[in-house]
Amino acid sequence: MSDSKRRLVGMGIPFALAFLPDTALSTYSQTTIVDGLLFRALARLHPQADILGYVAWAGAIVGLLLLTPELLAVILTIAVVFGHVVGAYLQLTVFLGSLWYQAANGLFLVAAVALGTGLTWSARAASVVEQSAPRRRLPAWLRWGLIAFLSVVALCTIWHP
Amino acid sequence: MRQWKRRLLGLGLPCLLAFSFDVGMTMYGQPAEYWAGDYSQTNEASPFIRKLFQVHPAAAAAGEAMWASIIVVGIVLLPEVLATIAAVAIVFGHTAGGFTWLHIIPERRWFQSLHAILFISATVLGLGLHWSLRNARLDDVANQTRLPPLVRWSLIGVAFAIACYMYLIPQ
Repeated sequence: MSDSKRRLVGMGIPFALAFLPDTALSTYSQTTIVDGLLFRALARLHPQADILGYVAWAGAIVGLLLLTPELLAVILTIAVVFGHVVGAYLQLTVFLGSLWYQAANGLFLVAAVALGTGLTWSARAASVVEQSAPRRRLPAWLRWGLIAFLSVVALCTIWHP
Repeated sequence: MRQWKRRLLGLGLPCLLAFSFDVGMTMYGQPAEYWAGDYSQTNEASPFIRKLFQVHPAAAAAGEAMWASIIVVGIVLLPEVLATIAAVAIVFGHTAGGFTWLHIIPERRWFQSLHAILFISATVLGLGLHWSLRNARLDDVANQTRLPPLVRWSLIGVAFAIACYMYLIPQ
């Protein structure tokens, strides 16, 4: 399995599992707390343009997961999964009533199962990838240029001065 | 490096930092009436720990110490993937728990505070997991725990049951 496929499966799937419910709940309840520069610009264009913002965010994160060095990709995966789980939990608090504490712990446990399984599998698969054929890499300037661009897109999405 | 040492460093240390943050904020966040001796005035979301706070601060500290020992048992004795899952869940839970206390800081920017805490927490956990999982490849078979399987899984079962009672079952 190639390095990019390994990262998409081991890190991308936990991200998708956290991102999709959070985004769906935010879009459904129309109570998004994300108020970044990109979202503000899109909201001026169209009331439902926030969906484009979510697409840009997801694209930037997937790009960064594929391009950044392994350690940064692991840290990024944990941060975005944690962030989206907290986001989903904040959307759900209205419905949870007195069981909010147990529900929050259950949600963290489910997220940890997806993330822990993905990261453990990814780390084990990485040793196989490293021993097999050499990776095809983008030229360094292009790779780091893309990382810088995607980081700016991601920061503009969540930055709230 | 021995497996238990690697796990305590790579998985246990991030858990300890998140746990200390949460417990420290919980103690700091108790109202003045509580510290004056009126233990019914406690402010704690966890039903189990709240009961202990209502008895005495020392009882709450003992409960937290018991929870810390359960974390250590889980991280050292569980199979690799389950120990990783446990570490992630514990860091998530305690980081979120500590974050909920930031309302006591006036004029806070909660969204930025949340992002900053998420980033710090993810960095510590990511460093620990990355280091631990990389080194796990080197000591897969030779360094496994020497406890008999019956003792090992009984300890895991007891620790898991207590954890479920403390944090997942409504009381």
